[in-house]
Amino acid sequence: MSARSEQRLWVAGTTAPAVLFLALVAYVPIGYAVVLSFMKKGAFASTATFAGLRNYSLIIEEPDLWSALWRSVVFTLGAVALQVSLGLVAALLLNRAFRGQTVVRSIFILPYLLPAIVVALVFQWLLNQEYGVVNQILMDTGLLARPVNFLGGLGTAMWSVIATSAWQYGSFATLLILARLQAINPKLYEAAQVSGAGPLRCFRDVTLPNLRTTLVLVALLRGIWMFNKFDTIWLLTRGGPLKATETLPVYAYRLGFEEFDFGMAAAACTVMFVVLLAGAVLYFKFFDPTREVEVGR
Amino acid sequence: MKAGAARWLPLGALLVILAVVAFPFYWMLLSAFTPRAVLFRPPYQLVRVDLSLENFRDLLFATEFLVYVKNSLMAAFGAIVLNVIAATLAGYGLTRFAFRGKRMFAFGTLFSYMFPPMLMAIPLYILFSALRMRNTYTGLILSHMAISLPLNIWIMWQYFQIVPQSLEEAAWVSGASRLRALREVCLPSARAGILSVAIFAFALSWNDFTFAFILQTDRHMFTVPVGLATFVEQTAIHWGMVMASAVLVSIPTFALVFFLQKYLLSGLSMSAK
Amino acid sequence: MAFTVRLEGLHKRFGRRLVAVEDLTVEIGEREFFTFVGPSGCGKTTTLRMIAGLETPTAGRIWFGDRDVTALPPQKRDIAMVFQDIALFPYMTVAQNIGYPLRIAGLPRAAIADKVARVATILGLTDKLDAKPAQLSGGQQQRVAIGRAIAKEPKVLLMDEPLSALDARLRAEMRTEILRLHRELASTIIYVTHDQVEAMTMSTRVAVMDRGRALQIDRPRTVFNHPRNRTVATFIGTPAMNVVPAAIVEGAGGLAVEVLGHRVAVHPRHHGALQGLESVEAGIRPQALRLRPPGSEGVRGVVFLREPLGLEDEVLVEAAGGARLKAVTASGEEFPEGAPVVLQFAPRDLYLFRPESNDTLCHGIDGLDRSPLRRP
Repeated sequence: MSARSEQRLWVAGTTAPAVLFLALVAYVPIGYAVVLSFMKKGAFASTATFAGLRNYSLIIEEPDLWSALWRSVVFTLGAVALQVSLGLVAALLLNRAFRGQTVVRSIFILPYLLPAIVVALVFQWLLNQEYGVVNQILMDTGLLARPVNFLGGLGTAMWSVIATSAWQYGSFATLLILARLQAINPKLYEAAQVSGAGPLRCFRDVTLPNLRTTLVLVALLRGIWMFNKFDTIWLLTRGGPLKATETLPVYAYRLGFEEFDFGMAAAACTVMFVVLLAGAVLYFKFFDPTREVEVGR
Repeated sequence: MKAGAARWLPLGALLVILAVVAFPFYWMLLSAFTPRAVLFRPPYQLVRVDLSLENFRDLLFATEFLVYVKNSLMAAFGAIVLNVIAATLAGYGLTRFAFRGKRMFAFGTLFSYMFPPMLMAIPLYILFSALRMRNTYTGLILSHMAISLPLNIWIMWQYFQIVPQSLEEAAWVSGASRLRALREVCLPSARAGILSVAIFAFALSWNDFTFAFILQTDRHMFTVPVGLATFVEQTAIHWGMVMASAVLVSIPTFALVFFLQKYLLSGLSMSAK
Repeated sequence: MAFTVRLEGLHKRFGRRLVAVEDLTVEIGEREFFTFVGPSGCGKTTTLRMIAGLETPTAGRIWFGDRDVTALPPQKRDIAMVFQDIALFPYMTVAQNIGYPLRIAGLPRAAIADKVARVATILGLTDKLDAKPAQLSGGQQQRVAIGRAIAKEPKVLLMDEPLSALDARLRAEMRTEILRLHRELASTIIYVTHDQVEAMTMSTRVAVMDRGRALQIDRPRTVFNHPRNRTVATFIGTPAMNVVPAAIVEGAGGLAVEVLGHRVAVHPRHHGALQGLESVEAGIRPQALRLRPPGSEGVRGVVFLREPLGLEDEVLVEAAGGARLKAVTASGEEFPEGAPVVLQFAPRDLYLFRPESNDTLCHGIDGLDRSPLRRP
């Protein structure tokens, strides 16, 4: 076999499995979802009939879609803001050498590695109205008079969900920001201090500029993922109470598996995808894929 | 060094944050070992001495928890094998050969990494229904590839860039074929990367809820997250047992972090700039 | 049986525009120690890699003896290679590294162990056979790499800047080692380096390369004394040759060169080469400049810098007119920095270069024939 065709065989052989898998389980389903959004298909119908923009026109008129969209936005903004700000604060506090550093770092990474189910179960238990310890502590310290139904109350459900996600992902944001903080050349701080800068000024002139990129990256990626998050929200509240936490992904699920209209569900999914695309375009504008990537979701 | 309050404030704040991060774990562990009778009787002490294993007993023997564990393990190991093979080969191909479309491959991989599970789950449900792959291990493993493969391709790509090509060239010049050089020289040097890939493949598969929830509808094929979700849908929830299950499900995570810290952190540090 | 390595019109282009090697033709004889030398990016490593089979030429052919190996993969060529970054297999012991090519060749275990032991003795590695590369020093690692290469007794041994990662003293030691190896083995050694001292002291022949082209292929002494063009002249020899602008003028008895304020007559035999030229460049090696007290005949100047180097000093002289020339003189108290001095040189040490093409026009303008320039 000639050298060139052998080389081609190698290229094909090494990239084919990955390409095949990705095409099969990622791209084909997405493409199919988009195609499906233009079809009418019930869960029990064996075939789909072309329906044009029917699903879209129907879904645009659904108030539920807009509420779901709004809730997604609220959740995303709240969760990202909390995660990034708390992450930043924690990272700044951790950015000094001290004993037990590795232990603390390991503690910080644990929430991120937990399965969504565990986080949901533990927080359901913690926030339980009758038996939850959070209520008990708040009442014992006098901050509450009566126990609050965090996950079941209309006013508190969304915030409880946001807080839970902040606990799970904020610690990870901490680690990412911390890594970036530690990569800042300490000489820059020394130079600033020698020039007369106090701690606040140092933060503004040395830390922030270096952090800016990481913060934007973290916020952007987190935003994309929080917007499309299904499992934690579903497991905590099932989208309730009374759809108070029904974000777009939860809404899509309901359309598909409770109202059995896959066409509509696909349309909702496509809306999610469009938002994802917008976010991705923004992201790629900032970052070259050969340089940055974040771990997990 | 700053004086007085200014010095203790950051430390205090750090401790508060640490407490907030660690408390749910502590409470989960405590509740798991608290017998049922004590658990629901107020007031709840933050520290207890009368601990027991009855929750774990109930969990393991009175529920199908072990079946769920088996299913989860099958899916996870399948995901590990497929991920390691596909990601290692792809990483090698991407770093050793120049070919058109490499940039597109990078974009495509990173982009697919952003796809949320929910987006892919509904079409996969329909596809797999047609192919009769719902409620199978194969279908579940394949769906888990969607969330872990892009990341793992990335990791192996980075790792193979660190392995110098001159190692393989030295092997070729010594008479080894490309395949042999890959096996004997390249792969051992990429061991750490392969281990990271295995860890992430396992973790992402073990933790997945969305795909397992949508694709597996037969109770006997439930994975652990899906099975546990059914525990809290009953009216009288056995919270002690639920917390026991949470502890058990978290063990692989804890074990991974504890024993393989350096691999995990090196994989993360590669991505955190 | 040993064979000659012949490169015919070798050409290598990367991408659409980067030409690394251009039209290289050379025949390397059996058992030669042949060195490709030149500055970074001149194409010498690319050439070596093409000989090894690690790069495919864009055009041209490579012959091992009478076999056309241009399309042959490296596994099938009877060569061995020592790499610049040493490239030892990190998870194998020294013994396993050295024995690797033998294992690939399918030799029985006893035979491998035997050969490895012999190679280890030759290179002084016998007590390190069970160590892993990470436990060895740089020099030891390089020796293991050499051991791995010579274990299979190759006909052609390729070495890609093997000493560049070592410190100066080690480099000198290894140079002797490699020369010794060359004597003991029956192989051709094709060597690549940017260090012209290595090239000059070790090789039977050198090829001076620049920007993908071979400027001159000759024995070291020839390249030093009779450089074919200015690039070769200034690259070979330490310190580098001084080059200053000069003018060709018509004098009473014919042509003369006006350089550094002095006029030197040109022997008629060189008039042909200089015909039609008005300005050229003149070169003179630092070793050919003599320092004389002020008032003597010669180029007047002031000592700008004096660098002691042990037995000799390098002296930088700023001549009248601004040109700075380097000279080499014995260490001593004479002519400290700032002192006025006169530089003297003999016409026979003067080289003249054509301005654009840098080709050497003539060497030694006093008429004595010492230049083999007319040979192709």
